[in-house]
Amino acid sequence: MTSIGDYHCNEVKRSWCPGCGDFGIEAALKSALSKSNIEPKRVMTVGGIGCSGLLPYWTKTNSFVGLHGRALPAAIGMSIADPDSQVVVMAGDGDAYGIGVGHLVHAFRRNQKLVYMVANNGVYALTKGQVSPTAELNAKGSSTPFGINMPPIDPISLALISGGTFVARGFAGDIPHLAEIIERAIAHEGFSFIDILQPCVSYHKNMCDSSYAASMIKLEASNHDAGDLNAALTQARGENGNRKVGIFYCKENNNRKVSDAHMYAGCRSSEDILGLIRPMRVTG
Amino acid sequence: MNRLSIGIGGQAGEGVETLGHAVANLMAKMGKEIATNGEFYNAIKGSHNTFEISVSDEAALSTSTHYNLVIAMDGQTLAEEARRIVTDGYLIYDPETGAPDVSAKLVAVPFLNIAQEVAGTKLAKNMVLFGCFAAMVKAPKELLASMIDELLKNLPPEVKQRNVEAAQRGYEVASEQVHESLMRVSVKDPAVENYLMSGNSISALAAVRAGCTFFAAYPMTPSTSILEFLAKWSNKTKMSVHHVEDELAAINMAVGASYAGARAMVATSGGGFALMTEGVGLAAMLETPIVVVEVQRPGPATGLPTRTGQGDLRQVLHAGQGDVPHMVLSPGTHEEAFQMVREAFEYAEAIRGPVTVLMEKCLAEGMRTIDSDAFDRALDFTCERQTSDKLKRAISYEHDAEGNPTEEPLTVIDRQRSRWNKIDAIAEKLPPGRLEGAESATVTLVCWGATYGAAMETSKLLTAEGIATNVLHIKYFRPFQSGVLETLQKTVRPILIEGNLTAQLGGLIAEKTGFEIKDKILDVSGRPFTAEGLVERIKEIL
Repeated sequence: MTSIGDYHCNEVKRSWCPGCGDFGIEAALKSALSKSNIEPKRVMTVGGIGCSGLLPYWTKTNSFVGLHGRALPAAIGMSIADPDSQVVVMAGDGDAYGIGVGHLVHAFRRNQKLVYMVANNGVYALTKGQVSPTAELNAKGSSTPFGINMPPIDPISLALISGGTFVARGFAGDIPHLAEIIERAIAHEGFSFIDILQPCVSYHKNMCDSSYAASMIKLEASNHDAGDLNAALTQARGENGNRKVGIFYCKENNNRKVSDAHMYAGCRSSEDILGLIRPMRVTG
Repeated sequence: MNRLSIGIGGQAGEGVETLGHAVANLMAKMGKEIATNGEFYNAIKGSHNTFEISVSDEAALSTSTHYNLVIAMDGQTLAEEARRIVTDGYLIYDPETGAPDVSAKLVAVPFLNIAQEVAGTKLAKNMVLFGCFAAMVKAPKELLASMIDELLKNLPPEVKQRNVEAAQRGYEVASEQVHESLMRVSVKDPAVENYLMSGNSISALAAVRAGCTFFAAYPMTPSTSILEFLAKWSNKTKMSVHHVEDELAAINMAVGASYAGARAMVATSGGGFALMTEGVGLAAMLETPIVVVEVQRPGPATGLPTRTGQGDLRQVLHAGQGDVPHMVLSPGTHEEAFQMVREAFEYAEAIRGPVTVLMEKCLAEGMRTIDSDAFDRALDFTCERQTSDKLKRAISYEHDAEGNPTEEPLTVIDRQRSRWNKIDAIAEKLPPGRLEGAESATVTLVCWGATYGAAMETSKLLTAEGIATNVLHIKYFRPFQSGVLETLQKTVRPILIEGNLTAQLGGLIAEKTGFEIKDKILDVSGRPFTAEGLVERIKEIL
């Protein structure tokens, strides 16, 4: 059994604000990895761009930080190329629901095995306080001083109608509960999506109040059937749907090929490659 | 005659390309060297398309603007391609489509009626015309049945049989009118193993040969068939081939796959490459090998999707923000495309970064006869993937040698330099630029990419006319290949030939060598250069 400390990288100084919700996500992830007993060298931690995307810096696993909006395709490429490794992505709401949302929709369709966590707090923090695609209607930010005139994206509904096979939400302030969700996500044979409500102490202070934490509604408490897609949609679309946490939907045994077989160059000799182009051969 | 230039004109959807492939295949079977070029409008039905075929006893390097034979499937061909028939050339036409007003030898074939009468559909007219062509080169009539069987292999046997009969009728009708043979032919020596292939199929094959294990692309004309070939072959090659949501996904997936141990490639055209540029920089920053094939069509924006051009050299060279150590090269021939795509994987390992192979539509979709030994000429791999038990860190922010983020000025400078040093190191391994053709020449044609074919044929024509001409074909743009300045200094009258408006290579040569080529032939018509066209323009310059 691996321990939480096995995933800890102390060499790099942390740059998250004290009290940042990302610390909660980091703790929950490391706990889930340890409980799942995956050796650090078999883990690939992928970051998007933004505060949350810095997680791979201080994770002692294989780590990858790519381009803004493109963490997901890079992670899918990794999972295809090395199906024995567990790929875990930590993206922000800008990365996942803004610049990279096109990839997200297709990732649900592709259902490649990996865990995709999105730190969702309605703000762009690293660029200092603009609204994100999940900001509430009329929310003010430095780029929308009179309020945003578009309603927020609903990530859970988007996931469900796009064919997501594991759709969950966690709260960075409830580490044990989030760790449990991540552990289930790791075990899922497919694309696991977790929207994580992540308080930003600098630009979204309302999320840091105790009243915000108290407003979380656990799906488990309402005997929600995570095998029922319509029930999941009802939970997401209903009153306080954006405060509900837990596993909305999980479809196992979905009869999909989990990943490509180990790739190898099947045709290396001249005879092999000439076999491929036999229809183009000029015969006398 | 040891060279035959054929033009086939017709409406999109009428089977122009199928007839073109049948004619090209037949002449390849007759032991000839083939070059083809399709000129299609960006439409599935209802526009005037042309398929050009050069048939030669020697290597065919380009197609022509003048034809020894035009096959007019529609009336528009009579007004266009038929006007470019050489003296003593032939025109096959159907009197029903119009009366030709050209001085060519006329072969009137009621192919619409024959198709309807024999095969029960006017669609079979291309097979009637195929029969006519076969008769005009005195190819054995028996070949029609076996070739049509292969050409129409997806159709039911009775349909194929009716098409064979239609072709045979065409053969008889043409035999009655034309008694000489357009070109002396004989069935080729079966011991010679050769293939009729497009540049895209060759690029796909080169990726397989190089041990590529991961490929992702979004379809974009004229690069799409690379994806289609690799997908079709993936059952055998075990390559992981993906048609993905966009080019952003394609290159980022490839970088991720490469990071996780795959040998990865993507292919696209100029527009898709524009989307990929940030990913090219990412591969360089993460020191992750990837190969990009960029097949050019004219821009800007959507431009001319189905035409050729050389307008993307600068885009590719300057892809990505910051100083991106990105290797860029371009082949001149189909054989060279195989070598260069294959070697690109090796270069990518050596520089641990991105390598782009630039091609043009005319090379990518144009077909050539290739000897099988061309597939063995490329270098064997020397750079195998390095494996290590160490945890891998790949960070797109500036980072130290361990992969940890840093903004410390001296480390940053050191890292920028170390990435570029790998480009400098590979420069020494590349062949220097050299002159091809006449040893001491009065004219030197300077070109890149597929313009090479027309330039070489131009140099032969001019030299035969007493204007000794040779060719300097630049193949490596970053690192810029050595020997170019020394070679240019030896020339008497260098003339730059490029398929763009701004002399993109000319500017690069001036930047790298200080040598400015004053005479330029620049063309943005979207059509490939031809030797006849170049000879004319060079004579104007001289």
